[in-house]
Amino acid sequence: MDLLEVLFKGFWCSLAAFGFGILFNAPKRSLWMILLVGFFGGVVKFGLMLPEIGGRIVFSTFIASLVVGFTGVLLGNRKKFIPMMITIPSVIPLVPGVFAYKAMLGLMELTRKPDENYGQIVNQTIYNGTMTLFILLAITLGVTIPLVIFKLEFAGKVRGLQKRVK
Amino acid sequence: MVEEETSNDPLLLGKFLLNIGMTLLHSGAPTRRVSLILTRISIAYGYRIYADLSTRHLSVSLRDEGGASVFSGGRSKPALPGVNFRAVSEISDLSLKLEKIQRPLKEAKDDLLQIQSNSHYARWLVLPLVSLAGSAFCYTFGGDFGEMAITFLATFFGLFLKQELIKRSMNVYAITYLSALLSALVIVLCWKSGFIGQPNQAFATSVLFLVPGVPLIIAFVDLLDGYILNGIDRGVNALIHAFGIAAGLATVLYLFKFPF
Repeated sequence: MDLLEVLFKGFWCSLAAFGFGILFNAPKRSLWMILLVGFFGGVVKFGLMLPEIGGRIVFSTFIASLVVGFTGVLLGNRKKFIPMMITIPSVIPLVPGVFAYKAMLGLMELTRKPDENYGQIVNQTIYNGTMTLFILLAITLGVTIPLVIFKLEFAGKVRGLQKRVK
Repeated sequence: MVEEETSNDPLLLGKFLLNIGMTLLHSGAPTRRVSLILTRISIAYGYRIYADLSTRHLSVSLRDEGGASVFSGGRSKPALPGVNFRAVSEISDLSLKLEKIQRPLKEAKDDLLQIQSNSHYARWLVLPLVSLAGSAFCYTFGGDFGEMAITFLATFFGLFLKQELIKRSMNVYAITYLSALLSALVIVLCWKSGFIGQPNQAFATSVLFLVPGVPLIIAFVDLLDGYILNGIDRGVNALIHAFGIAAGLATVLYLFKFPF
């Protein structure tokens, strides 16, 4: 039952990724990859957040974007395709929209005169703001680690040619 | 190889590289990717390249095998980078092809012009699909079907306004602000007219099509690659867009005394 819900959320994540692929003018032959990789991202994130596994949201998002990063790089290299074109639309559904929104509402609320509820609002705003920041960091690191640290990206044979010119 | 080197004018190659570099920078390619593609093409034609890459300016100087400087030039564009993945991908393919076979630069230039003239997806396709993506977002954040429906509407109107304003070449941050404002207005009007109850999820997700995801991620890629200045440039750009979205939402919340 819960698993079905996870798959369903994965499906909607993949649809959202597809929409953003269109918005970013991704090439036609990359669209199916975006659908697939976006689906993986959604399933991993919501799967890890199931009560049986009990992953927290930052950790789950980080693992999900790592999965997106690695599958994107693998698919991209196989099809001679820039991995960023696949991974960026696919991680957009993981963006912490609601946290960011609540953090901002809280900040606006802090401009009023302090009363007995003020401490509560401060707590919630700091919580939401920190969550936004860390989820964004998790997403960007998860996507960039396969590209920058492991250098898995297909980059042509520039080095060999450089020797020829020298 | 030698024949091709002599038949290819360094001036033409330099201009070609400047054109490619500027197109890539304006299509949301990470700095390392731009540098890689420029190096790949210039080496394929037998020149060494020294490029200075910023987000709005590009300087290139070329040297031949003997080390003599044969070309130096720059190009700038006042507009901030946008996103066009198809252009990046096609130019990357073009550079791989040129690496294999050094075709005459005139032909390569025609290919580049062809890529630049390729348009975006049709508007009637982009609008509903991105709106659908917005409502998909709303679902993953826990919204029900009523909220998904108004998120669809809000995204549709917001994106429509954004496209119209981009045609009139307005300030990009003002465009973000106004689009966020319109999307939030649509949600609030649906709420006020009693169409649905408290639309918290819809409110948060209706503006997600404006989120500067590409500059944000590319900012981190650039920072980790060591292009610190470009990374900061893109990151601050993304932050101002985020402030624009926040300001748009805040205006509506303030005007309508939206409780949360």
